[in-house]
Amino acid sequence: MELHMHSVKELRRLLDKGELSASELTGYYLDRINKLDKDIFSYITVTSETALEQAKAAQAAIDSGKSTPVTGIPVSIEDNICTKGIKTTCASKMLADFVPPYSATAVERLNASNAVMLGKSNMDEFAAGPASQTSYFGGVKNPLDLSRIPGGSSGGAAASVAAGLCAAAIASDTGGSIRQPASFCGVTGIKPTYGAVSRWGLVGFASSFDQIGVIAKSSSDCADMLDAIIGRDENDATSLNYNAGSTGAKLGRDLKGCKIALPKEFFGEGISASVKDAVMKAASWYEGQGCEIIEASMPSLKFAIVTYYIISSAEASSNLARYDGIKFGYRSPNGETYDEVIKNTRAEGFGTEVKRRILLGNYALSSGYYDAYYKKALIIREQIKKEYADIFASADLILTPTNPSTAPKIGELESDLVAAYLSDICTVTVNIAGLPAVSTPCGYAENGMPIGMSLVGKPFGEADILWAADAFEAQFERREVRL
Amino acid sequence: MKNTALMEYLADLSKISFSPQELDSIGTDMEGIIGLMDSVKEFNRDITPQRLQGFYRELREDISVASYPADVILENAAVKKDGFFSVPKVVD
Repeated sequence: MELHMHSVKELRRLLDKGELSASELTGYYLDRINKLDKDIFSYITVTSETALEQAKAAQAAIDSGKSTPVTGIPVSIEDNICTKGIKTTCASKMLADFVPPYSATAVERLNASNAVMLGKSNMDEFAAGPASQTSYFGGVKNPLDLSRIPGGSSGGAAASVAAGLCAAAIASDTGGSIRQPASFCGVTGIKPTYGAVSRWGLVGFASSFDQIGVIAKSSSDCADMLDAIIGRDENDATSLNYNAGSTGAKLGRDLKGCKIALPKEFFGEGISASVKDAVMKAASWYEGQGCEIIEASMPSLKFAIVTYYIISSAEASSNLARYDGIKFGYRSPNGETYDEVIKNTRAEGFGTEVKRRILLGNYALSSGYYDAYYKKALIIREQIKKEYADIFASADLILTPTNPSTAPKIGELESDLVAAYLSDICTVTVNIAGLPAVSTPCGYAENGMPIGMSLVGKPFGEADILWAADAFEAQFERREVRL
Repeated sequence: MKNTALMEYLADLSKISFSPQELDSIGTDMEGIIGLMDSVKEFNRDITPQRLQGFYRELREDISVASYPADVILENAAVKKDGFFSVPKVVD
């Protein structure tokens, strides 16, 4: 088996037994990136020198018996997560030359565990998009079919894992940005409970939704990566003391007795027949393992998309107000006055989708519209949280599709913006309620593209969702991309 | 939505300059999205949003700590002078 097809756990074994050095493994992945990524464009920046230095340090840790599950494991880091001394662009002209003076807490924790950073992954500009096509540097392609999108906004992260250009990826999820591309690329992605991973150093888009998580080949790999970055950080007041132990603690246990709810609204209009069929087959498989399948309902799902877009755009309009060209980032050479420089900087530095979200956010927050849109959206957010709590009163997990369809062709989503926004219907409620969810492949459509299912857990239920997803993966034949 | 005055107002609030053609095009895009947003008006249950309740957990102790040196912060500034950010003249 080629090295890039190994799981994190298998690589760990090879590294710890001395059958492979961290430098050899890192060099192998860097060679693959050099050879293959020109067609996929999953990386904006490849950090070869840093990676090889980190590999040496990782090897020293391994040699002295101090390895952790992620020591020497080559990973990609999404380019909206700050890395000290290394460009962090958010795939935007605005930050094309921004070099952070500090690293995100998640990156610091990976460094402390001697993981190896191969580079910064491509994405939608400022994480605003479902396709990874709005990157200032160029769009990402799906390694399974280069004519299709990899999903977004963390499309580079998912593509880098699917193409075997890293062993795992750290990325962010605001409305499905980890799970949807994981689904489109046929890999596994987890968005943890809001607050489980520090957002310190994650460039803010919609702060009450944003969360750092993991994309990897399996739930077991996700658990290893997540354990390395999870937990309270005093630099992020919304981060939590994570007392649930290892997120992989339940892997391998019997599923018998687990109660899994299927809210009917997630299987209604707009969900393709092949997706519905694959997820229902997964539900039947769980039932066959002794799980109890429970019918459930989330009546407010029909309001989820608008609630998400109103609140997230409002928060984005505020977060992105800091880009004025004065303190850091791009500054327009055009304009005589302070106001003109700021307005031209933002006109030239932001792409169309980011501008659209800022305008939408300011519309929802502006006088005369605040109560009708923003305040109402906050109310619906409470209702959605309540409906999740009601379902979890009698269920351990919730099973839904990750996306209504498989990965569209590049350019298809741009032709219908409203349809593009609506395609997030299966993922946004998890961010609205701050819950953990994992997407993992559960089938393949007639076009050969993967179908993802999502398992949603209670707050701090990472171990539960990874347990159930891992059990499914053990019997599911995931198709590796051969590149 | 293609209310030119409203679009110009939003562009000003957003501190983004647009040509009339760009603003017209983005206004057309927003028509459909605002139509979608209008569906929140159908939700009529009376619930008090908790907003920040339970949102922030333990706050760290409010003590001053060393920040980054000015030269480190200024490294990312497009225009700087004498250890300060440089801005266009505001007052004549």
